Amino acid sequence: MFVEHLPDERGQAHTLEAFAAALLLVAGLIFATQATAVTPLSASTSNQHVENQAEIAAQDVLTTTETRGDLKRALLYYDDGFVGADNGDHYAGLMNETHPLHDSLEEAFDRRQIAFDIDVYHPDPTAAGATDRTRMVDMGTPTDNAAVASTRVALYGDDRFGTDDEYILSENGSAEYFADPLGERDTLYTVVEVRITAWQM
Amino acid sequence: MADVGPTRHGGIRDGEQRDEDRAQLILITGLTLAVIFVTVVLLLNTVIYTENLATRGVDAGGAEAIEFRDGAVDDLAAIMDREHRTETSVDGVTADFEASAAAYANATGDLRARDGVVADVTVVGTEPGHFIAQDEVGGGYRTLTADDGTADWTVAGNATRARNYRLMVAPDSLSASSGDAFTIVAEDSTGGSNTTWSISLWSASDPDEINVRVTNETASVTETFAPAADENHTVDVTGGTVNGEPFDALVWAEGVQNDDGTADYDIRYENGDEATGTYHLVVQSDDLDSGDDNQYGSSPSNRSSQPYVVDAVYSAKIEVSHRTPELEYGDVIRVAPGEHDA
Repeated sequence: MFVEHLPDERGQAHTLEAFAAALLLVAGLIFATQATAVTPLSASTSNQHVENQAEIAAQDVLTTTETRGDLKRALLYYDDGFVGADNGDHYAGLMNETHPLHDSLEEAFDRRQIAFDIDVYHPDPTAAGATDRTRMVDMGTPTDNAAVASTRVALYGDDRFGTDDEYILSENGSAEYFADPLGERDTLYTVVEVRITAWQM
Repeated sequence: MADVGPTRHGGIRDGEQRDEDRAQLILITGLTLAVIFVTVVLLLNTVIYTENLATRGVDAGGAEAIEFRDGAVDDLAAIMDREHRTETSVDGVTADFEASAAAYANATGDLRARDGVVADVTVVGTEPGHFIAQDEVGGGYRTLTADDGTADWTVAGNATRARNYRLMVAPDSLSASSGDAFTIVAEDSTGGSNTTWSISLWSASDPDEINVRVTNETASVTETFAPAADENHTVDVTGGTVNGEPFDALVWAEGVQNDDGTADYDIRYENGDEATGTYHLVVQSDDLDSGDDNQYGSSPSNRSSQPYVVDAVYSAKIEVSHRTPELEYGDVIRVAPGEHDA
């Protein structure tokens, strides 16, 4: 009797064991995929969208602020470092509310938890073909999946800069402004490139 | 279900043994299914990811090249607008403009090179012109008369083209009736067809508003415009707007100026004493002050006299090139900011 019934009970135990093993394996697989693939920064479908979106947002911010003149105002908002800078001569985060770029950057990046750097590249007149970089906003080192957008802004000799526009580029620029003049000419002062690097935090 | 399980050692296959085998079979099937599902999900995700990558940024960078061209045109137009105000060198305004354009090309070329783009802007030709203006003087506006006070006078003689013509008048200075209203006339000076085009400005029944009448060879259109925010009236004569509002009938020198710029015409002011304000325009003319030497004061380049005239660049042809490994783009554009058909 006992010998005959034993195989039935062992079969049930094996089935239970099998279910437990299957669950363990599937859970392990799910855990593995969760841990590796699906974060906003890893190479996946969602990451592509995030990256594309950040690039478009950065380009749009540059285009609209350039058309409105805010970008140029921001570049000329400079008096021994960018005005209101909280980290030496540049901003460490979003600028305060009086800054011409505050609203655009807040809407495009800050509210969506996207970090950004803004660098200004300008030609170095002392060496042919060389460019210098001045930081406007430095939020840290971008990730590998950061998006980049840039535009160029021409600055003219009659543009005024400073906290209250008290300086004129053609007169005070070479001494007070971060970008050096291209030459002796008073019409075109220099051309700078503004570059936004944006990435998901 | 057929028993496909391996036979146990000894080859004994009674009923009880078969049940034990089937449990193992269910386990293996379940596991296999789970693995298949996960694989399918990963595979689908990879397909979408690949598709996403493949469709991203497939254009060869045409937008970038167009953007560069538009930026260069805007910036060179701005340089052109400033050059006659800041002319300092003895080489003349055209040489200054070309030097500034070369400096611009150098700077943008260096900046674009950072992105692996070979970009260049070259001025391939310029047309000289004259910048005629009257500015605000001594805290007030002057009447729109010649330097010697003549009310009916020729602003620019033998003009072939005009651009960037803006006029700002104070509302309280305008004539109340159309009869003696301040009028800008463009009149064919060759004497042949003798066609005229004119625009008159006078006060509307509400003294804050302005009546504008444009008369060409065939028709005359009058419209009333509300003042701009600063209460003055700004007429963009070549741009076709009054106080920022578009005025369809306002087409500069319609029927007088021809498209290829070969017909000479005079730009005259009538009743210049019936308005005060400022204006500026750039004209292309070979013989600006023929028959009238007193319009701009003693010296043609004397900025202290009102109105004054200085040399300017009327238009420039620029060649833009933008080269990336994927796309080579080039274009020649005529830059004449504020020209009517520009």
